[in-house]
Amino acid sequence: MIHGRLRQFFRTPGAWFGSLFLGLILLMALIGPLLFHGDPHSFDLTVAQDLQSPNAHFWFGSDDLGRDIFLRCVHAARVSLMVGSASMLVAVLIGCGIGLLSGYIGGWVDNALMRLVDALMGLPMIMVLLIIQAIFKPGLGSVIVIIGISGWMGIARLVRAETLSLRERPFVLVARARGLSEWRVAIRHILPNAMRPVIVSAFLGIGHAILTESVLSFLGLGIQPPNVSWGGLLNNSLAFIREAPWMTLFPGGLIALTIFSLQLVGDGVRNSLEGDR
Amino acid sequence: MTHLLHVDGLQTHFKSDQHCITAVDGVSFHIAENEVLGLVGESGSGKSITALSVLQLLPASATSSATTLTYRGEALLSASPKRLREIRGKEIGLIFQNPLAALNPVFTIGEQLIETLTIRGGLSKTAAREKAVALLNQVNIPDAGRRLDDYPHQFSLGMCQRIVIALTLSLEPKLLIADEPTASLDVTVQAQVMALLKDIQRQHQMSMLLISHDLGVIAQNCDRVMVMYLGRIVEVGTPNDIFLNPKHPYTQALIRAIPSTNPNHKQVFNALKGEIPSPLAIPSGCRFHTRCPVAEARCRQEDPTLTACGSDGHLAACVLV
Repeated sequence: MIHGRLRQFFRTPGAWFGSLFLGLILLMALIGPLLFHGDPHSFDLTVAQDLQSPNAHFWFGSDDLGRDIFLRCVHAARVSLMVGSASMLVAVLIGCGIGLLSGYIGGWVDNALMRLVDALMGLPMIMVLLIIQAIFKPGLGSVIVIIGISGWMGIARLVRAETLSLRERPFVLVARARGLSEWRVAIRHILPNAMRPVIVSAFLGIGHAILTESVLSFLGLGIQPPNVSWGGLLNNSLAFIREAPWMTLFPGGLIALTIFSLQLVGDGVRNSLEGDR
Repeated sequence: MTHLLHVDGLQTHFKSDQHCITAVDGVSFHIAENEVLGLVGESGSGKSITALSVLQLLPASATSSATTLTYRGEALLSASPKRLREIRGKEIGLIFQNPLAALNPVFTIGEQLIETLTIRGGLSKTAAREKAVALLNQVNIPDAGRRLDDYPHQFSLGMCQRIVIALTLSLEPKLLIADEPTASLDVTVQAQVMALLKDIQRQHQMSMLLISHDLGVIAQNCDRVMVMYLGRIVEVGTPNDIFLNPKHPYTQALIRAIPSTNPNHKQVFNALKGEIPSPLAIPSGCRFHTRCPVAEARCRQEDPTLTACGSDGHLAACVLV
């Protein structure tokens, strides 16, 4: 069964490229900082190393303070991937909880929760994020929580829709007829069956979260220096976009390619999960 | 004989914004210990809803009421949700018609058996695993120890139904409600599963409410038979009463509709005329008069009740009897 799923996965166009690139990025984020020694934050103003174009020493060039962009990209990958996946986890947890509650209990609970989702979806999220971030002290944790909190609504709708159809399925009725509690039926029997679309949407969601974090960082409200994410690197590069386009190109390219890869992998996962439905 | 289950005047309504449908309308019956009671009728006659009403497992849009609904003298309608959960599974077990759909597709059958045995049966994980293997052996699943780790879709339908039986049996209920247990199986497997159910019922001295539209299954396995039409019981009796001496025109029509296996006996299909009326527009008087071959004018007004006819315990609801 695993074998069939893998075959389905790799039959999807681009899934090869997506997983290869994601693997590379992940590897870079995990062991890159150990491999490439050197402090991504250190700079030396005595030697003229600022704004160098990519060369043998600075693979991705250097920035206005003479810092190695490649090294900074490697370190930023950790932050960006961390924010992306952790905030998606937050969103999945909230979304599954609310969606399951809404779909299983139904009635006024369902109505209230779904209207809340509608209301939140109607808000211009980026404005809300900016306001919240302006109030709280920006940091890794708060960025993760805030992006997670702003991204659970779609998942809640998915889980609710799945729950509505699953709760009418005979195995749910029969589980209740065996005297299992409503909680157990909802969490152990319904939720795992509702996870397929959630997994697919989570892959796309990670990309979206990375993008949201980049926007926040680009606006100076994301991860704070000296820590840096890909979006933060873009923020730095803005002033030098004419003299040193590599400062924009490399982190920007990494963001774009990572999100593209996540979508390709998400498509592959969908195909492999649909195979045995 | 004491009555295990006593149902009197059971009514189940489905409410929507526009309509109120009475799916079960004043059904009364009882099941004695060790008794197998059959319930026959067309699709839509309210058989399954009757079963779910007993277990209080109706969909949210349905409500049920009854003058009496007691299990071993304990009122089920006023029981707390907690008490109902205790009764479900351990006292009254349910076997569903589509065995593959009755198993959770994302868990192995072992996980489902062990969950039931630990959570409801109070066994430890290891004891539950041993019991699970024993149960699968009892329902004749070959190589039970290894197959415990297989998913439902890796089994045939007949095997799935045996697994469902094992799952229900794991809590040793005193009353088994089997809702069309063989409907989705082919004939030879049907016979095997029915034989297994009957065996288990005898061994464990359980009572059974056997719901089916297959008259053959009912005739062979039941101590008593009820015939249901449009939410009402129209005839009750022993299999001999019902199949050899049917009184109600509906029962007679059902029996005529059984196709013959004799190839020389070229029969026209004695299908019952028309379809079961919509529960939204229940006919006045006798509910069967719209399709009854012998209906008279008074059948349109008089609503018959179950009355004794012929042998002891043989009841039929027809003004012409």
